[in-house]
Amino acid sequence: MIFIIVGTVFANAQEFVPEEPVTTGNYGLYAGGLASTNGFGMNLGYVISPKITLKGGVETLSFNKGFNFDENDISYSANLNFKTGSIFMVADYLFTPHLYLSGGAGLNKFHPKINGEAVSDMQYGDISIPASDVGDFRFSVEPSLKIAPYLAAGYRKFIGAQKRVVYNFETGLYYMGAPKVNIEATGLLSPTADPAHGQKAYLEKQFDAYKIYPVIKFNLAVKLF
Amino acid sequence: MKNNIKKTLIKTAAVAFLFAVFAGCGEMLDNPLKDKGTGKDINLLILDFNFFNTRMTYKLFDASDNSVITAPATITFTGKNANDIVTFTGEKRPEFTTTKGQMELTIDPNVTISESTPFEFAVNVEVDGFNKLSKGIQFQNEGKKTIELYLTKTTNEDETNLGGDIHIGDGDTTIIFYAPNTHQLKSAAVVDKPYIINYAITINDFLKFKDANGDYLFQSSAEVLAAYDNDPDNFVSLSFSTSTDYSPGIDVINDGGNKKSLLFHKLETGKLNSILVTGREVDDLNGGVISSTCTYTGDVVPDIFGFAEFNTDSWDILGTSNQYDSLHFSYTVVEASTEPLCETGASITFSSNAISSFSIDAEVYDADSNLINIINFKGNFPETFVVENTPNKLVKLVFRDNNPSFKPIAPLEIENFCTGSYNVDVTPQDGYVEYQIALKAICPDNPTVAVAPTYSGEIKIPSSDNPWQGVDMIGGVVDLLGLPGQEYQLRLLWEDDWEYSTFYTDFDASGNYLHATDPKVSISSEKMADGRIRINVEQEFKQNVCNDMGW
Repeated sequence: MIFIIVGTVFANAQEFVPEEPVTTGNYGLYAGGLASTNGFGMNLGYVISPKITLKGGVETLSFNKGFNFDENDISYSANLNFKTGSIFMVADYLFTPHLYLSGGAGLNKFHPKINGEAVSDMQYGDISIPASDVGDFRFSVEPSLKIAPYLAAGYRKFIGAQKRVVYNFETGLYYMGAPKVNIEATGLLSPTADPAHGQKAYLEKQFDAYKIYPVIKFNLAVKLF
Repeated sequence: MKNNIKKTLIKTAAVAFLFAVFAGCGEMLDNPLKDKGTGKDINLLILDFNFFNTRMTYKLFDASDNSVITAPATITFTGKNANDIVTFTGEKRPEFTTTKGQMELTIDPNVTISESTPFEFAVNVEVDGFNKLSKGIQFQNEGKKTIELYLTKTTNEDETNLGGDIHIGDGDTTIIFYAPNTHQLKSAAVVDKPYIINYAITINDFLKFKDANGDYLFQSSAEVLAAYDNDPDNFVSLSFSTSTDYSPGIDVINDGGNKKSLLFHKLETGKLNSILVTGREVDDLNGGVISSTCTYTGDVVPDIFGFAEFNTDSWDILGTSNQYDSLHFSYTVVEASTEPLCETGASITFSSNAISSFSIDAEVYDADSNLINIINFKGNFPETFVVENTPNKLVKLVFRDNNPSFKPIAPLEIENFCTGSYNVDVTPQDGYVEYQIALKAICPDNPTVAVAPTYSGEIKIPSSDNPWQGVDMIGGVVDLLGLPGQEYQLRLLWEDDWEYSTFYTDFDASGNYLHATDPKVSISSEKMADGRIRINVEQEFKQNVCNDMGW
């Protein structure tokens, strides 16, 4: 929904933003920072013409979240490690002085993982199964395309008295391909990870619609020269 | 004007771009936790109960013809570790029942089993029409155990009537009843027994006996002697039911509190049915006693010979004389060797050029071809077993030819069953092909969970006369040998009912399964990287295994 709203805003933005043609004074190399749904990082941009800007950069996001949960009377201690990011190279095509379409590719670092292990013995009938026998699990997802194509639409504006500062706001997506699911498990969950049962392939099929990684990105850069 | 056209084009292009992007994302709005094909909840987790380290299969056989006993059987466990025996749902029960002649049980994984801490218990089996069986067992290591129990039918018992002779003893007069040292079977065949059992009743004890009316049989010693003199041949008659149809094996003997597994042979069990004295049936011994002695008459007297009584988890050896003060007494005569068994002995590896699980039964014979024990080896090639409770002598393992997919296995002679490593090479039967079965039992109440058990199973071509062939399933996966183009049944014994999975070994050139399945079973197949075909069976069992397991 947010992408539809943002897209609609882009489609109509031209009507609200006064035309400010890019001049040769805006040409040059810019460096700055970025914040996006794919992480925080740095970018370099080179404005080579009023319509074309080349950009490259790196963005990364990683956080760990530990949590406990109970499943079938077993208490698990789990940890979600969400890791994403990319090293990207894109080209912006400005079809108006402020609005642009961006295309390129990124070396995709999307790799969320969740690990867990039983921390309590499992009451099983009249006996108690030691937590060590209940076992642990590791689920992770990674993109099938390491080099992920990137498409976006954005808004760019030079600001400041000498127009040496530029900011971009863009929304787009990485096409990662169908996600690859990795499952490792010991103890009572171990058949879930056994290739003989095809659970990895089955889950990959169930989740194969999730081929894109949505991006909302804000860049701020200053002209170096 | 030109500007307006440009803006319209831009907006159109932007909307088209967004439409193209989001059209490809439409499926992302579908719930991935619903199966794309069926719309039902997906199976997310596959569980096993591989936390059990020791699995036990109990098999009940009729000793007369080795057929499986399908009459209702009650199995109880006694002894030190009896309370550690549980079902695969973790339940401890005072008794376990089966009508399948077989039972799958396991051991609380918190209990460590080793040579220094053996798992000690006794199994007691009661089946109508069969004599109660008790057997002491000591496990020296964890693993897969198959315990074959052979029960003797009460209807096959021999009925023996003993007459008596008079013997004047010191201070008292005793009537001694001599048993024949041959054994008269119902079939009229006569077998030699290397022992005799005699009974004796003193005149003082005769004087205590009462009939059904509560009247004393005799009022005085003189009356007893007079009755005897009047008709010595019919003065007294003891009627016994006896069984001798017992195979030797390994059992546990209580040697002054020290419980030891020994080579053991129950020679005879019997019970007194009635005593007739001068034609009147004794109804109450009334404090009188009947004495009994057993004497070994064979060439080589066993280390242990005599009456024995099973007590909780082991046999108490009572000696060669015994006294009974109740009318319908039972007795057991046993022989055993005092030679200590090795807690763990030879190491035997079963290997094959086939990828397959196996369940191979071996009869263990000593150098004189006397049966010592029966051992089951269940696993996956190649697998090594360290045999437990082994005699320190030469043995020969004769493998039963009850695996249709394997060629008969040559006997294995082992110089000393306590040591050494041996290999048994198993050859697939001609025409058999390697397959893999991956079985998942879907939980009907919670399809997100399925069970793929580590369990013992059996497989058979249902239309054949072949025996059920044992297989070893690990996490729902079984490697096996089968004939192409056949219908097969795989069965697992859960609680007291068999759960069957039926599949065909019919595939197209790509390894795809060619048969339709019923709604509660989903079968597919695929060619594996090593060229074998894997058959995936997903089904709901008749029994709610998941509920039983608490999932």
